[in-house]
Amino acid sequence: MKHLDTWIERWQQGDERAAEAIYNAHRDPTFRLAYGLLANREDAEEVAQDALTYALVNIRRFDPSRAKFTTWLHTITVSRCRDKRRRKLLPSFSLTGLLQKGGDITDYEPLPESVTTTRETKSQVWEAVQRLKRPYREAVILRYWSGHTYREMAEILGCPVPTAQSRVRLAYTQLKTDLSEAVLENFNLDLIE
Amino acid sequence: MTHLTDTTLNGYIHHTLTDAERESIDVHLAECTSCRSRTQEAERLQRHIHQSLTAEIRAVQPSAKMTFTAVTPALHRRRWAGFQFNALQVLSTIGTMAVIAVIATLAFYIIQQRNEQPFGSSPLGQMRDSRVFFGQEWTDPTPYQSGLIRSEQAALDLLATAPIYHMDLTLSDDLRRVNGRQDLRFTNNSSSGLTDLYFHLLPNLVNHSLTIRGVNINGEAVNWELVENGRYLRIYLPYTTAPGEQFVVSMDFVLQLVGSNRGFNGTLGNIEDVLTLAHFHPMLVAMQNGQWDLTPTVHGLGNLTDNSFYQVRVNAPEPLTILSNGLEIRRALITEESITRQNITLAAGPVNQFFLTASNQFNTVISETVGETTINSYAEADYLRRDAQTALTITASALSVYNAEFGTY
Repeated sequence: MKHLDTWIERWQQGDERAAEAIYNAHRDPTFRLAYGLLANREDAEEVAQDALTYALVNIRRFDPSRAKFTTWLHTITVSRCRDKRRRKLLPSFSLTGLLQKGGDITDYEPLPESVTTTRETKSQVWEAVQRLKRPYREAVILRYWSGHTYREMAEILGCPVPTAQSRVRLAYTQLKTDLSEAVLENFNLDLIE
Repeated sequence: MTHLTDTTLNGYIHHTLTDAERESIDVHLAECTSCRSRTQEAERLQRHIHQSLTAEIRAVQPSAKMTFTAVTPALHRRRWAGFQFNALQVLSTIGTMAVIAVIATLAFYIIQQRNEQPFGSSPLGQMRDSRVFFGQEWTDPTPYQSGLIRSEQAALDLLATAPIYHMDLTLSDDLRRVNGRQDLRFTNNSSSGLTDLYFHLLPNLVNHSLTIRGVNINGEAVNWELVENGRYLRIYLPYTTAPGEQFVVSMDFVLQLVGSNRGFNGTLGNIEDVLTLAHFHPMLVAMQNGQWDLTPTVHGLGNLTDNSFYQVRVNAPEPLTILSNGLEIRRALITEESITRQNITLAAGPVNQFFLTASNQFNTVISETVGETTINSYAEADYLRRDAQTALTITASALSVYNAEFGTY
């Protein structure tokens, strides 16, 4: 995006109006990415604002010839989201062993409040995605919502490309199972009536 | 072609198959109704997931508090050095640290009741015994003594608090891959409690690949992640580490050198079968006033790390000439299944990085001694002897000037 490159260059030289332009262009998308990962509006806002602040403050660390700005910004956002969830769910869980084949990839942590309190109105897909364990939820949001390539996802998540691919595939399989069970449940309820 | 399995179908709709696989599936789908309808159903589910997520996420707006104006104070406070915390993050960090500090203090008292610990106890458990790794204690100065001239032996006092790396490296036959294991004896030399550690993963900055596995502290697995596109390794400490506390951080790593990439002015790469390794392993980030110094590097790489000690065991092909800023303190040849390799141990410190270069082409050696330092200049062949001589002369002159101005190197 030509404008963005110019804004970045100008902000790297200290023009605060360029910083504002960068902020405005990425405010909503960053918030939404955080919301997809955290399912809580206040947390998402805090994390997004934090990520945008960090990116703007450290803009000189960003090299436009070597990476896309959104990829960098999303890497920061995902990292902050992980921090946020970690702090809320002490003691933290181990990150090892999540990719063991045949392992359960759904999460038995309590669901974030926004999902449980408005259960009737939130879609089943949303609930099913939020039930996935962190690496799989991240993979789904980054692929199905943000539309990142696997290469970008690998950068953002800090994993190899094949890992990013397998997380998306496994998440899809789990969602498919979850969603077809939900459909079955509704079907039975209809019968009981 | 046989019908699509679930796995193949999954790969197909997610575009993770090779072009060849994809083409052959396309051919099958053109002919097979049942596979075609299964594929369409799967793609429908994908669309459903995408649309539901979109509807859900787009329905939410950030509040009016999320403005650029709220960000400007941080932008004005911006300096070259490191992170900017917003008030909320600082408060929540302090709150969490207070809780962890209480737990850590209790744990500390409990552990203190137990038997004398030979290496000192800490809330992070007994420090890993390095005798298993190198046959001597962390602070034993013997390996480093021959690397320092007599008047500088006092520098070994730094062993009490400086970072100490014990590394095991295996160089692949093609000199493009390094499998490593590193133990770092870390001391919190700041006056603040620490909740995380940062390591430079510099090869990732110049398109080589440095991957990390199995991070643990005193033998216990810990949470970690890569940040900033693999530029740093960030480790979350299980408890706040008090000033003066020590522990051992271990990890496995694999460095894969990519192409003829010369990274950092030719100091990290394999160029015409000469391997150069500088900043090639996870290096502890320097600390400034209790904060990790994560400033970007623009010119030169001088202030990345604090002065450290290194003991490095290198398993490499034989024959191979290995040169390093560490002194060779042990050498052995090991033959396994009729393949002979060399195993050498190098020790360096205090230095701000560990460097090594290796090649089968260091054939010609010429030397000169200045003060208490011997300079060796290596060249691939005799016809390059003049260049090697020039390099030697320049280095010798520089060293003479250094000795005159600053004292013996």
